[in-house]
Amino acid sequence: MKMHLVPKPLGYAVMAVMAFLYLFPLLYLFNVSVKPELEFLVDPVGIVKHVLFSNYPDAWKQGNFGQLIGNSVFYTAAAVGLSVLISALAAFPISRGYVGWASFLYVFFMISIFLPNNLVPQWNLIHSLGLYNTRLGFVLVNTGIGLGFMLMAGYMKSIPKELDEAASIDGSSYSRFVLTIILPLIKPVLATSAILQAIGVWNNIIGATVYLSDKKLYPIVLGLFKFYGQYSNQWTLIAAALVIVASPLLLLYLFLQRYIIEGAMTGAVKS
Amino acid sequence: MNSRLTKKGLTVLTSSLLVLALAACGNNNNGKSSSSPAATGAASPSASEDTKPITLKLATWEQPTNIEAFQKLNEKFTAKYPNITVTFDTSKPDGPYQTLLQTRLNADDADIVTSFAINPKKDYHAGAAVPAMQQYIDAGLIEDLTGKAFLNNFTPESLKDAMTYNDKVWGIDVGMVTYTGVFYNKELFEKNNLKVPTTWPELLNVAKTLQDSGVAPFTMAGKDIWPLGMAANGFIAALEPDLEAFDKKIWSGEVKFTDPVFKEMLEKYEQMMGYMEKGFMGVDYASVVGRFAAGKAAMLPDGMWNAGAIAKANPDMKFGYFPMPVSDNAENNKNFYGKYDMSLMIAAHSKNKEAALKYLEFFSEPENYSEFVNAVGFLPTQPNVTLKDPFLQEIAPQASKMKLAMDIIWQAPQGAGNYTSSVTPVQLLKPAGKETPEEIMNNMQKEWEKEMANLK
Amino acid sequence: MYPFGKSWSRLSPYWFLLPALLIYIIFSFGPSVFTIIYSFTDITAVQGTKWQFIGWDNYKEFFQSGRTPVYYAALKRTLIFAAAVTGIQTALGLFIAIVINTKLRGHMFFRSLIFLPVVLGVTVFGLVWTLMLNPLDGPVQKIWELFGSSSTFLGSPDLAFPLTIFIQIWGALGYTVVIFLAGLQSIPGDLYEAGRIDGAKAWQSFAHITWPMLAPTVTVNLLLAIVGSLQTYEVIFILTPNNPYTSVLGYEVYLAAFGSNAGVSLRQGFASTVAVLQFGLVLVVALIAQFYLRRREVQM
Repeated sequence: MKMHLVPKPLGYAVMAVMAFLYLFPLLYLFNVSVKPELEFLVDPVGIVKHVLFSNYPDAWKQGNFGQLIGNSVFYTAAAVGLSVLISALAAFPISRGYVGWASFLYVFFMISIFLPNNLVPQWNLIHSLGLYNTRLGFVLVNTGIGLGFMLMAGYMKSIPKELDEAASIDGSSYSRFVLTIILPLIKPVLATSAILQAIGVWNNIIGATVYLSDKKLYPIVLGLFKFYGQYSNQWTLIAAALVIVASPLLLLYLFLQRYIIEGAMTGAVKS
Repeated sequence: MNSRLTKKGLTVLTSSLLVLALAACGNNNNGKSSSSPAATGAASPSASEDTKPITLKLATWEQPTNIEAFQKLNEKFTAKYPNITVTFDTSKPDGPYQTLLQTRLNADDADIVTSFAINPKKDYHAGAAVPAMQQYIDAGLIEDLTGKAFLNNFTPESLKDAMTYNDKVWGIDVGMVTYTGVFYNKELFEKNNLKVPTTWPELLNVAKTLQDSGVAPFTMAGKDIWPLGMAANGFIAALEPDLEAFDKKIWSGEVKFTDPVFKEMLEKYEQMMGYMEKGFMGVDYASVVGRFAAGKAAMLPDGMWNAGAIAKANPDMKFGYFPMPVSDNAENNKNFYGKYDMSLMIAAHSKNKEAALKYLEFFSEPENYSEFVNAVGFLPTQPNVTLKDPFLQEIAPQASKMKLAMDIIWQAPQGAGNYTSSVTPVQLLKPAGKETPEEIMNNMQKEWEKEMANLK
Repeated sequence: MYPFGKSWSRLSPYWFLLPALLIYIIFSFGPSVFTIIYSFTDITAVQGTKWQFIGWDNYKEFFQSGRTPVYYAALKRTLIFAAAVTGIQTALGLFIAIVINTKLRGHMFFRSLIFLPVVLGVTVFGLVWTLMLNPLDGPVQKIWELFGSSSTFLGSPDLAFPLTIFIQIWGALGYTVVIFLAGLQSIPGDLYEAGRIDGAKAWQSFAHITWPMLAPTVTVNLLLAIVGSLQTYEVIFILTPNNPYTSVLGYEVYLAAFGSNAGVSLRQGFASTVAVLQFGLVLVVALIAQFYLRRREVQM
């Protein structure tokens, strides 16, 4: 069933303009990244004449990006894994009312979106626990209960309660039921929460600036930002660095885009 | 069931809040106990001290000449003490570095830190915010170096003026720099038959001639904002040569921000910005040297420390440096103004204090110091240093008589806004900002009066 | 009713709840509460400095110190930023979602492309735009010059702030589009079919079918967008950290706590005060928005 809220020609025109607005910066970035520095200084905008790939190994080496990407993968995996797990384990009893004060707890968790910026006391806390400039500290400040909790609780409500009773009649314990039946059942929403949170953790540049001092512990976004500060006059090098950082994400996105976008879409409908 | 849960919940809640409360207070107590000399100063050197591998963390800002000089020194240091390696922790200069310094010092995450002179606030600065370094020292985060033998290698004036506070010496200062001068491209000047200007009308004439010949007269790193304010020091100093007296008069209310001197300063600065290269507000500090060295502009108001970077960017270039001639009277334009630049201090909570002291001692050895100060291009604070750089040799006679610049003398009032954080808020002036000199002056006065009223 | 037994096993759900509760309280909720407590103290970031409760002094300073105009300007920009970002992003996002949902050729590629910045993240696309907006002969400057004009873009006192808004929208638009797409695709097609039989024009089907059916999606996401855009400052942190004409409240908190502004820096107590005031703003705006959006939903 086709819906023609927008006439076709207008639709194509809009798509063309927007595509240009989104494609051009990326193509331009790539163009700069393969320019010799001198050519860039003389003619920054023109299409590259002498294609030069050496900016890439240079940027890779000087930025130590291999290690930094590894750090980001670790932080994201750890913080997201932990967050999704604890959110799911908490969302189930709350959505079912298996704990007292369930609706209070639901609101209590949900207000995390509104709470005052807690960066200052949080920094003091992390510091006094000896977790400043440690991997564990950075993972912990990125672990949390947010939108994912809301999505999961909403999704769990749609699972019929009879399932719980059937399981208990079969002699299943609560923990076995949650771990082996409920968690697999809510896989789609787990994935959605994970994706949404992963985007947030991966890009947490303020947190990294504040909590990490050791270059070896930087996530890639902070490393990239510092790289830009250090080589701010060498755009060819920075452009290469940007392409280096963007490529794995781009690749991942190419393979997983169905899941990522559809995950975001399921999230939207359920909420 | 419910009441049991409530109780449990409350226990959890209170115990976590307790953790937080402890964290907040712990912050306090930590500082106090470990800052007392008894707790920290008595680390007795053991036999293994010389062999166990130590990594010294040195926090400093990114300035290519500084970093290179440190790298060289560190290599020599590690050659002498094979078990000690020195690693850098850097950020962009100015604001970002202050952030870095603050977090590292407070997290006990640095052994040696770099800063400028201490510049504590004076008695008549009632109501000024306490400068950050003064707060760090007051809180016991900086190691007292009074009486250390290596201090004797430095001139007594530099120790007294830059590094003494509460009658104790807190570090060593590497050298002095001026930043009220202007780099100029000698070739472009010669090509246009221009002489070094000594008065404001002459400078305007130079700028106009250059512009007419198709060369941008000035460039500056407007994107980073602070270079604009730094150059403004030359403007206020040429118009008010006795800056300390001027500072006192501002605090006593004798001088108002609506006085003619501020009008002249801002109007002349506005005139200069009219001769900047197009797009200077998008140039950052790391790029500006390259633009000057490439001949994109004939003059660059900047700190003398960039001479080395210019020479490196274009080894064939002939360039000089003259004091910004802001006054109409050539006599007032002869002085350079500046500050004590990089200082080295030891973090009081450092676990490697012995090694850090060795580093400062090594740094202070005349041979090492001389090499370092030549590399970074400061005017030395040790006697008997031979300056190798022809540029330094050229400006040293005039520059070593420099006086302290206004941004060093000025102390921002508590809660200062954009207008009185410095007395030269030129970043708000069109086209860098949005305002005219009159608007800025009125706003400065208004903001100042509010700050002074809040004191009462 | 809890079906999984009594006594001991009745406690299982509580055990499962505990990790989330603990982590949330210790690392998030607790520090937020302490932000409010801090806001009444003169705690500094300098460890080992004595502190005390100072009542409302920090609040007074916010409203009547020399820096007050800076805060008011930041407050104003925060509201403009949130309104512009939320408004434009929602309107444009809905329009583009409708375009994509028309399923023209290439719409799948287009959908992926527009969502891409969300995946790349603010640091990457912020720097890409810094490169695009390079005032020294960058591509946007070239286009500007075609119109006989030039600008310093992110260094300009007038353009820098609108540009941060543009870049924020550019980066997050894809997310809004995808959310609306989800909403659109949940609208049964027969509704439109019925409308067409009744002779409804395009805008009529939009007004009477699409818009009301989207109401729940709009409500939730508008609220989240408003709250988010009132708090965010990453774009400013990356694009214009030094520009005095782009700061927003969130960035003022960061600057007071971790920055270097003479007379304000190092003051955790005061930074917390700004954070609490920002919280108040978020709360008020969110409540008003909630009220109107819910009412609208009911009306439809």
